[in-house]
Amino acid sequence: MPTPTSSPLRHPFCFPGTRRSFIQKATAGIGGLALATLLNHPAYADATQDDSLPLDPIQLDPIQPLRPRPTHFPAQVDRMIFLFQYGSPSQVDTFDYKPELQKREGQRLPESYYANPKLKHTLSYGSELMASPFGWKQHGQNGLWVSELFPHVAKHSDDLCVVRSMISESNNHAPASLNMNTGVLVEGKPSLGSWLTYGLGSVNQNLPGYVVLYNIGPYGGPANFTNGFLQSSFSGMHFRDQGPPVLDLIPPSAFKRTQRQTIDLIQQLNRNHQATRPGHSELDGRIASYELAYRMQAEAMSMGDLASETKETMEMYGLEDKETAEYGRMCLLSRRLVESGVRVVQLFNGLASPKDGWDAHTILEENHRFNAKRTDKPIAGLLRDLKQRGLLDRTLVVWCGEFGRTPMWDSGSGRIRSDAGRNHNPLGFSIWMAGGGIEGGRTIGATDPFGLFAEEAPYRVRDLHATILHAFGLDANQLYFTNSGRQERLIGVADSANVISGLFRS
Amino acid sequence: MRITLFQFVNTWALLVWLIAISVSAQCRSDEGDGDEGMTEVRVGDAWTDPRNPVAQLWDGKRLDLWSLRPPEPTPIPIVLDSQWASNPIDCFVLAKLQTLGLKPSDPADRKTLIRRATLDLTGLLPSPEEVVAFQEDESPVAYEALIDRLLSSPQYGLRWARHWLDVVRYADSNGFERDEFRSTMWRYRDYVVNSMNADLPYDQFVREQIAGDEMASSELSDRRRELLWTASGFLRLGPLDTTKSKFDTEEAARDEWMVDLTNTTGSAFLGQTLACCRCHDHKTDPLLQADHYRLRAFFAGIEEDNERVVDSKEVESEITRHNTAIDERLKPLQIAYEKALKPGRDRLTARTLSTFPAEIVNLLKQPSDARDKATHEKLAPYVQKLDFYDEDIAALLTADENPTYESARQKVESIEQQKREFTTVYCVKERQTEIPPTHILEGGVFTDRREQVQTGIFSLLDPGPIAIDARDVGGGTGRRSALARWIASTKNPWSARVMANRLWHHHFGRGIVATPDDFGYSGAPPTHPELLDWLAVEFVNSGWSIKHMHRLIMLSATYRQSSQVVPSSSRLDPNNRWLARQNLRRMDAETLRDCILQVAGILERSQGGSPRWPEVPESVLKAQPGIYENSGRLQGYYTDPERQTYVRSILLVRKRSVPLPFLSVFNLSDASGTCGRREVTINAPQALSLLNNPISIRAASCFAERLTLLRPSDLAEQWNEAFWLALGRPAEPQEQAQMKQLFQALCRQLSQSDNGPSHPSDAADIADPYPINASLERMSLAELCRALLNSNEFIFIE
Repeated sequence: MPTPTSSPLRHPFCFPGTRRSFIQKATAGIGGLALATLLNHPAYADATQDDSLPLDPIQLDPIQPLRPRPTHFPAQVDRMIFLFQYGSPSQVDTFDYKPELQKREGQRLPESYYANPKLKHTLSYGSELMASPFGWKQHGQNGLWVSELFPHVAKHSDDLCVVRSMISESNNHAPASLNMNTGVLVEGKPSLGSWLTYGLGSVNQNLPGYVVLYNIGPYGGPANFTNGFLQSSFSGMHFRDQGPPVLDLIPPSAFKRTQRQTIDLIQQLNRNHQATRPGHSELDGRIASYELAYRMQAEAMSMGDLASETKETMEMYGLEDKETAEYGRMCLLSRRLVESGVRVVQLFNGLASPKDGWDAHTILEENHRFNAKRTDKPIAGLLRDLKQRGLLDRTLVVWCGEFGRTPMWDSGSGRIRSDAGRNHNPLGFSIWMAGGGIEGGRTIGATDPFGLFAEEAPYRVRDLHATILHAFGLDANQLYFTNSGRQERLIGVADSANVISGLFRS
Repeated sequence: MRITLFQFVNTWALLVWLIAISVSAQCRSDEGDGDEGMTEVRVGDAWTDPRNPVAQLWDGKRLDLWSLRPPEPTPIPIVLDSQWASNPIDCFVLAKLQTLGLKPSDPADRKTLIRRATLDLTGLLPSPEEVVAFQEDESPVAYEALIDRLLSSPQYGLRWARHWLDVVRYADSNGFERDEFRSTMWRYRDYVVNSMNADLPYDQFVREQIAGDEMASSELSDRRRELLWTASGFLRLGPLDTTKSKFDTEEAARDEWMVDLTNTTGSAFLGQTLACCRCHDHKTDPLLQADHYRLRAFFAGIEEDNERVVDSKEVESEITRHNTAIDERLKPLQIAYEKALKPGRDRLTARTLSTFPAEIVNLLKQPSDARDKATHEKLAPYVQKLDFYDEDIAALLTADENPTYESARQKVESIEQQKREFTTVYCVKERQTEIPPTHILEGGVFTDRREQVQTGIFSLLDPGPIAIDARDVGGGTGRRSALARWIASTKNPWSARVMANRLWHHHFGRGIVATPDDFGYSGAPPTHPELLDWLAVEFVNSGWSIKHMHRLIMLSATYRQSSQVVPSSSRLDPNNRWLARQNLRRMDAETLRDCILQVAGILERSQGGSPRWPEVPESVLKAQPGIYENSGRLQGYYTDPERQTYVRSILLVRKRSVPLPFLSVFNLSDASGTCGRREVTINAPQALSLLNNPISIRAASCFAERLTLLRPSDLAEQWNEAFWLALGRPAEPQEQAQMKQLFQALCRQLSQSDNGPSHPSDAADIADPYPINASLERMSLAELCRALLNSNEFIFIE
């Protein structure tokens, strides 16, 4: 296709600014002599500054973007294991004991609740209270209430701090998951783990800084653990708990025996090539990346070698029991990873079945017993193991879902009481944290007498995020990255967030 | 000699250009503004009218921002070394270099040049024959002929459509919890490919995407209307939460759609960061919060249209006739089918009723129209339980009953399969009822409405409402047509500059403005502002011809420079911002994959159509429960046979929640917003992927096979051919020696029987990369091929 002939005779731009520029034009003069004037025009002066991309406080080493970076202030912890409970466990059946709810089984939620517009959706799915079917007991020196679902975790209750007044911004799985993991309800923003590795780098340069474990991932998929606009080195890398842990880590057997020779050949070709092209750091970077890949291969393979653990350790995580083995393997792998200097490990509940995780719209009792049984012992094992290795002091352990569940049973779309479950509840739910600096055996905040919405000291997801950054010695306001003209932060461009008060030992 | 002639021709052209420019500059002052008649007692622009609300922002200071001034037909600087310059671009670049004491580089050698140009324009490698032919071409216009040949290659569209798809955040699925496949979104992708190949003028390209549906008047040809509807698929490309109705969040989801459209329109066409003024006035640019909503108001009337039939009237009625006839034939068959199913249905019903409380069973005995509302509500959950799947019913049929059912089912199915489907596209339609008013939202929260706004462009240019003429549109209110006309014009200072800069960015690896989606204060200032203006003016004057711009840029001496680092220059300009050489660029994800397939000889030259679904490791699919738990194409992931997936990467399915591992690791854009500049990183996971990914493994073995077919006899010849195919040059004697050494080392290694501990690899399920009893030669050849595909010389564009 022939291109149209160019005619420079016409000035094509005609809009309000034009008249003004005509005036400038007249003073600048016409023709080649104007060049010097134009080049020195003050509006263009910025263009002669050294670098034209906006500067952020963190300048990355292009070859080693995970190189450790200083904190803003002294940190409580330097690594984290985030146990995301997808589908969302019910607070009133786990960590938020509500005697009033237990008494009022079958009664209608008091009328006063209907005036709250935020409850509109929640209430539309039924208003008949359902008592928790589980037994409750106080545990530890501090008498923390834990339901019978978590007998093993309950033994660590003096290490747990339960926040009973969390609020999510969405009542739907995918947006709420994204909210919990990236701070916003839509895809495309960096996840918490990405922000942490961006801010702090990582300890071990031969492993990724941010690892995710799952058998089945969370609602919303990989958008929950991607790097967004941050560099891809900060994306969550999936480690599998069986076989080669990282995708494309090793070649097929036909190519395996000759791998070192092949890498040597590549490096030889690259050095030949580089010899005649000095001064390009990208070429050095790629040569270095193959050596790093070789080391990563060895180190990642050994990470996945759970068989090297003692029998006692495996027992502690429940690896010998079919029901707990799956989650146990992931918990054990988490410990191995943080022990080796991985900054953030995020474990998405990720059980192969039931497919919806904790999302018990029906058969709450069966669903929650099933999920709790499979995770309770492994989580308790993880806490114990971290503690005995002296790692718990430096590690933050977080347990939470994307939201909570209603104290009323869910009578929506054809459901019947005999196999009742609970609906989504973003307005008040419980999470717990343990580890470095955390004041154990206590609760923060409270829901109303039925456990429906956060009443005392409510905290939003972004407050939780600011709190986690705080534990790592980072100020959520100061950790930002300039993207499309905005100083993006985990807690939002223009928002502010509060560190959860009373969580850390003073 | 031929270079001199080339230079001469261009110097002459330059002279003509210069004369023309001075004449034009003198003529212009007589023209005045075209739209003068429309302005009545309106508030003027922020520069001239203090009543303009933007004049108050920043005390009016930010109005000096370079990008707010209209591009000017800048005079071409006169430079001393005109021997080097071959077109006006070079004069701008050289003038700047000279003021900084820098010297431009010599042109790259011909092998480098054809490789660079071919990769830039087609995203593929030149064949060895093409390299040799170009090296030996003594014509003075050999290089121009090369550019013209590449611009007319159909592969050009596949390459440059990919860049545009990044800008418009293209994906084939909805994202969020279910991430359903948008089964006809690819027609938009094909529209972009074809538009690029046809050099559709950019202004028209923009108008069609923003307002195609409004432009599709009934007087146009069916084909034209189809294209226009398809183009307006642009408005449907963002993520979409389809569970919104289930969770009472329709209003929020619509708000997100409007935000997405406003932001994307701002960044894709205008380089304006409207996301910043969703919640407040812009923090750095002279934009009001109202500007976000004024722009949003243009979209206020649109609704999703997922199945717009784009068949011609004749085809449409033919299909309808055909399908009605089939329905007629189906009727008796369906009755037979129901009859065959009945015994099973009775059993399942009885079984289910037995689990209900007696009271419910009694109530169910009432005829359904005799029940009152309360009874209906009470029974609803039970009635739902009596609505069975046919498969569950059929499971209760006896062995005697089953054959009758099976044959009835097969009959129904075979007839049903004869139905034909309409050709449909994703686009939008305008609301038939009154269009809801657009309000400024306090803090961007959709429930917190403040004052109402009218459709309007950026206040700093014109704070009044925009004139909308509904008469000249085929359907709808004309709102978007008005917006599209303004964007695709010279009435704003951005559109031409932004696109010219996007083109430059992809030819140099860095734009004149290094932030192609942000022309505001927080974006990067232009390195060569006069050149950018000149390019923008040239772009408009060429009739918004993108191919004209490629030609202009690629024929410049600036583009053709060698990428070799010259120490004296790099001391003064370490980041090569002033272009004293060409940049060294790493292939992007798609180019890398496409070139690997090309070298292996297995790239299928398909031009479009329904996307292909490459195999993805199970662990990647499992990252998204919505995908993994559902089979079938809509919500799940359905893998095509391997061979069918060896197409250009732009034709692979883009499920938002299934990032294809190989492409992702090489910095694929993420389809959540405009991405005019992809990040380029170099890291160890890339090395692992390029070494071990099934694509690399498969390609290496096919490449080896190809070599043995091309050069059956001699190993040294095979090596040589491998260098030619992958790198466009013969193997040097030193390399031949290294190959030989390595070959022997490989053979020694391979002849040892110990395989070491065995782990399944991600490439393991590829059928043997080569026959298990293949010769050592063949096995080592595959390794050598793998090494070449991993080499810096292969992956970097010089």
